[in-house]
Amino acid sequence: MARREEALEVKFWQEMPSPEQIWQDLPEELKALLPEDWQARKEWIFELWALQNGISVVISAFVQAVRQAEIDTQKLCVVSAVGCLTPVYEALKCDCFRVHQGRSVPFGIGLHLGNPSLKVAVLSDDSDILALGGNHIIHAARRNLDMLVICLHELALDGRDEQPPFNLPYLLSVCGAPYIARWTVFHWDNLRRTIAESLYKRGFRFIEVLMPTLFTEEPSELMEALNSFVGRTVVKHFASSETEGDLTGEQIVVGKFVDTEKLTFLDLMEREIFSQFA
Amino acid sequence: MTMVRTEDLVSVEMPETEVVEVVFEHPSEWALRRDRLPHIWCSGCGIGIAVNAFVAAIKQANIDLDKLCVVSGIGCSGRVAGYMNCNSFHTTHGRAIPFAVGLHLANPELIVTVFSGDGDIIAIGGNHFIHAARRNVDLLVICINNFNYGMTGGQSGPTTHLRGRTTTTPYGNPEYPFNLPRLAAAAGAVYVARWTVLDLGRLRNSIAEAFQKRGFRFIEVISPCPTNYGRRNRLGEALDELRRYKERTVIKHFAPLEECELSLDGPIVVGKFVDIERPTLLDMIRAQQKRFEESEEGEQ
Repeated sequence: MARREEALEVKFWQEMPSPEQIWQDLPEELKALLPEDWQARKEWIFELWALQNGISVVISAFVQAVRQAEIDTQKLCVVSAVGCLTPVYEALKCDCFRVHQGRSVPFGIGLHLGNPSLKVAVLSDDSDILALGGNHIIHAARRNLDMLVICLHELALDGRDEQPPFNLPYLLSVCGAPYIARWTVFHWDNLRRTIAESLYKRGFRFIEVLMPTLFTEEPSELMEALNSFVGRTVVKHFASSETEGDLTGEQIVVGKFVDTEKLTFLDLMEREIFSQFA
Repeated sequence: MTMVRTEDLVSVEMPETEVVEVVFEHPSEWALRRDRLPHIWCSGCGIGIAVNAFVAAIKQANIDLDKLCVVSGIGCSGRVAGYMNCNSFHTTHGRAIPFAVGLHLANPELIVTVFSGDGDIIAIGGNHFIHAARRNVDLLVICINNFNYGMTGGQSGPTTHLRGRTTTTPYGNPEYPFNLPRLAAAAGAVYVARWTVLDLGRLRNSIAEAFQKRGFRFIEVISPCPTNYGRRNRLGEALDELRRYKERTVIKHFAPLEECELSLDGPIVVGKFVDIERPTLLDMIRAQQKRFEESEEGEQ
């Protein structure tokens, strides 16, 4: 993966463009994936692209990565739950499922075990995957089920979080996930490459996308906070998630933490159980 | 040595004395409810040993039984709360930790202990477990790990070894098990230890040490289950299983936690793995309250 050398700078759109303008600016790859009746659903396109948070970044990076990896969209299943990433089920022209809050991972497990030829991706945010469905994700990582989980992790920049956030790469690596990466919403290109790479991996792949949030009405204050957040990020591959993956420290290490090969749940079923009847 | 015929003994006249009733009290009886005994555990089960160590640790740490709360969930080790003669609560399946968090936050003076099994704390209550450890709630969690759901008939759980045979995995378990100390440490526990029921004195000292600390403390107790897990995996009787512990146990304090994986044949690394200090949830809430009050005074 290429390292991005130039300094990242966040730009702020003072004026929101019109839906027609957004449609014209959309890349061709995304247009191909959008449903036919997109014009009847202008609202969500506008909402998707006008929101200045990371949701549109994650969805567009996912779409581009699917395109880049040349995944058959007939075989792609996207599961999303109640949360910020809910619009994904309207935005993509593949099998999308919108399920209860916290239950996106078990739904994906069912899809995967019901038809192992499907590629299952779970796009959701921390309130769904971590808060309510935290048990599902640690057990799915333990069993090493063949699915891709992209978790949008919202970080409060103004220190409102009294409780420390989870060190997700460390927690998931302890549970046994063989592929773990972390990017922020400002590393769009790296995120796209990582998703494209992980779509061809096997096992439980986990990609954490950090999204800073700030409750302020002052645009200059917001820009200052976001730029200082971007300045804190350091790209470092295969860093030790235990010592360097902490989000409360001075710098935020992003990159690919773990990339190993491990037998998945279905492999082990084949090796341990079905082989006894062969 | 000479044999004495019983006819000779009968002829001896005994002087009449007052009958004095001598009540032999079990050393742990002061902390147990006598009317609830005998317990339901199978012969050879390790939970009774863990309870004994827990009671001895209460004595060693000078804990007031009126201040002590024991919360249990469902399962074999869920019965512990019923037998303890203190503020004991038997809660629903998987909800021992949230119940204990409520107890602690409502009355921070209480010493809250969660005494439950792996199926309760890790399987169904796994989310509560990792979130309580992340928040560093002031709880002592003692998790009896017998590698299966013993009470309901020996089904496989999240701690069942790879290739371990249970009722629901009669051809071997195809799942990787959890490494509980590593999971607790990754989630943010401040005190993590693991002992087998054979290390009785070390377990007692460890619990007594954990009573003196603040924050989320986690002690995993590896226990034999001869009725279900041991029988299906040909581990022998309870004593054979204890002998296996004696042969395979490696005491290694502060060992790297990735080396502490459990398998059917591998070594069992025990010891105290994590002992750090971190502000607890109550500390955080009080600091926030203080900041809020100060800012309000400044505004006025």
